[in-house]
Amino acid sequence: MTVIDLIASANHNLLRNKTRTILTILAIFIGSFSIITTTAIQNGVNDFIDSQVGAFGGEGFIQMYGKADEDDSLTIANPMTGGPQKYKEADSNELGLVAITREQFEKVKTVEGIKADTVLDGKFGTVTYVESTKNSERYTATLNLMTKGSIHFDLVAGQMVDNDSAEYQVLLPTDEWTTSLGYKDNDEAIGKILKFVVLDPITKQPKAFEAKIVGVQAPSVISGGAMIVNSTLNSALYDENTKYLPEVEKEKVYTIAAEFDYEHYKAEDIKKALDEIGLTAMTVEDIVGQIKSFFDVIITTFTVFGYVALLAASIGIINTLFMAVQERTREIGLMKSFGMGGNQIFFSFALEAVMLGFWGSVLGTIASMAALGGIDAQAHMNDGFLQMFPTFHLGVYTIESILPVILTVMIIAFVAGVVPARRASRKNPIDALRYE
Amino acid sequence: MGIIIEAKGLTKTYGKRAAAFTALRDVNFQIEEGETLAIVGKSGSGKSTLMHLLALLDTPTHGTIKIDGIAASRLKGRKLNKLRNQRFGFVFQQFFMNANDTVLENVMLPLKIGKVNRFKRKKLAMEALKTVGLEDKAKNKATDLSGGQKQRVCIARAIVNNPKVIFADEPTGNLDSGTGDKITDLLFDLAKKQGVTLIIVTHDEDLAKLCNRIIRISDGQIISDQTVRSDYQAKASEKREKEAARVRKANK
Ligand SMILES: Nc1ncnc2c1ncn2[C@@H]1O[C@H](COP(=O)(O)OP(=O)(O)OP(=O)(O)O)[C@@H](O)[C@H]1O
Ligand SMILES: [Mg+2]
Repeated sequence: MTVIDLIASANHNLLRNKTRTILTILAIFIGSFSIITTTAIQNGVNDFIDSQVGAFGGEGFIQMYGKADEDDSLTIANPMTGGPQKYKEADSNELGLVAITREQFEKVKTVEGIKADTVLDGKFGTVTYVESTKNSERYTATLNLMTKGSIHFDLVAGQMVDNDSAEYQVLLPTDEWTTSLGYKDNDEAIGKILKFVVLDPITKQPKAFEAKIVGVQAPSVISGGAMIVNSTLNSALYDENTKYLPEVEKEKVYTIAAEFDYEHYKAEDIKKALDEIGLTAMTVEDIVGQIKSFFDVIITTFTVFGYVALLAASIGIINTLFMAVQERTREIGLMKSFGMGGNQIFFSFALEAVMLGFWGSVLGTIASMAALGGIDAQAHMNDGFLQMFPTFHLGVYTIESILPVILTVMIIAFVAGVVPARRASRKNPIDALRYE
Repeated sequence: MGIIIEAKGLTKTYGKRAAAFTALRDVNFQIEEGETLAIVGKSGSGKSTLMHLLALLDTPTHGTIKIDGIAASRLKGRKLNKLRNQRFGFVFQQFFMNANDTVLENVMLPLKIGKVNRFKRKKLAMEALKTVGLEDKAKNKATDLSGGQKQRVCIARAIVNNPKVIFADEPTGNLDSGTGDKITDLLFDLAKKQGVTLIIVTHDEDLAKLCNRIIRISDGQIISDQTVRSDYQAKASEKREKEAARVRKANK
């Protein structure tokens, strides 16, 4: 038989016993569906994280904390380990952060690999409320600042704040803010003034700082909904916040952010150097790594499930083909007596198996796309759980992620089909013909 | 004319140990090209067993078969398949058709296996069906045919590849005498005009008499092997004379 005839007859044979074929395809379908779906979610998460951190940028950002103790230095940075903690005699604030001395701060600038001009001293200003100049609404706000050109944020409008600018600048955390502040869209908000109001610690008299809105951020897990202000605004706010404090208290800081030359230095080496100064450091990779590893656990679980399902499906394929061999034993005998070679018979059965694998996995892919696409669309609607993250797409499908799965499934199907196919090809024609 | 098939010491034992049954015991003979051979015997005497061995569809327990002087045990894979596909034609006693396929597909099967292109295989199969008088049943499902029609489809399938040797196990067993005669004429015509070697298994003495050689077997052994001027040759000349007489009468 020619290859075309073989394919045609394999197809024909699969259609002959529809129920069994459909059940086998269903088993393969379930396996492929879960594998394709989990890889698509994984892609979605990775894409999201990449879009949050940016293709470059993030790698060079490093954040430092005072080290509480030789061994449990990281407890403060990890929100997962709540629980009561022993009091340790150190100059710590109410969060348990250990104060960083001026001396340590100066030393950080001299660490090889750290860019001295990017070192931020962690004097974070706070604001009592912000007030819209458009609709006069007042809101509370948490503030954050970023090192020069460090983390590359996902912006939906405008640009990043400029730490070197003399004017006060702010980046709105989400586009929810633009509507709350009375603007009809992001573009209208850009260039407008937002008032940062601080009450005098003693007299309670409000003092306003007028900052220009330079951009709007896409919702981000890293900035956690905080407004990014530039250093100029931050310093002004901090000075106002601490204006009654003694000089020594004013100079006390708990965190330092900086950038290091990640192209020429390893994060590990820099961390070690900072450790010698008595500081614990975390890079963006450390922070993002925590999020990533959380998703990885889920994804691995689902992938394992998918492969277990596929394993079950391959037993289904073996069964389907064994039955088909049995059912068609006479036909095999007839074909052999008319000169069909064992190889061709093997090939035609193996082809059936591969076709089962092909249809199962292709349908699984299509179903997965439809399902995740639907959930994703639903999730981004008004009350959806992903409404906050417009750039987070649940299912991201690429040829590179789909094709290997389909091929793997087809290979599994082929391997499962080998045993029955061999059995079919080895029959003696007359024995096969006499088979009842 | 050369020897086409040679059987030496053929023995076939089915089953093992206690259940062992020897269906064929030390059978020896040769078949010449162009011969018409009838294998006759009672039911269960081993006729079909012998035919399957000669057609290389089964392997003997002992003994050898040579095709064109080459031992069958040396014919393997491609060569054996080519032989089965192009030089042999089979009519099985139990028909063996793919029940769900159409009549045409069944007849085309040997050509499909032999990689004949779609167009040509259809044409050849239709011709073969016409020869057995079933061209109008081409599109029917094989299961829907009567016993005699099935038998004719099997004959069409056996001749479709234009074989050199036709093995036919009870080819007229299910046919009325009229249709049976037509099929018989067809087979013997092929033998005569194209030099096809015909090996017919039958318990019908009249059919056997049409062949030029009759091998009788009983309990798996040859009890007689006679070459004769067949009835077919006699009948054919008789037919010709009758025809001539009719023409003469008509001309009067
Ligand atoms: N596969 C088999 N296993 C066991 N015994 C078999 C097998 N095939 C045939 N036999 C036995 O071998 C003997 C010869 O069988 P065979 O089919 O050759 O007979 P036959 O002469 O063709 O009879 P019939 O005219 O009824 O077709 C019978 O006794 C039969 O029972
Ligand atoms: Mg028989």
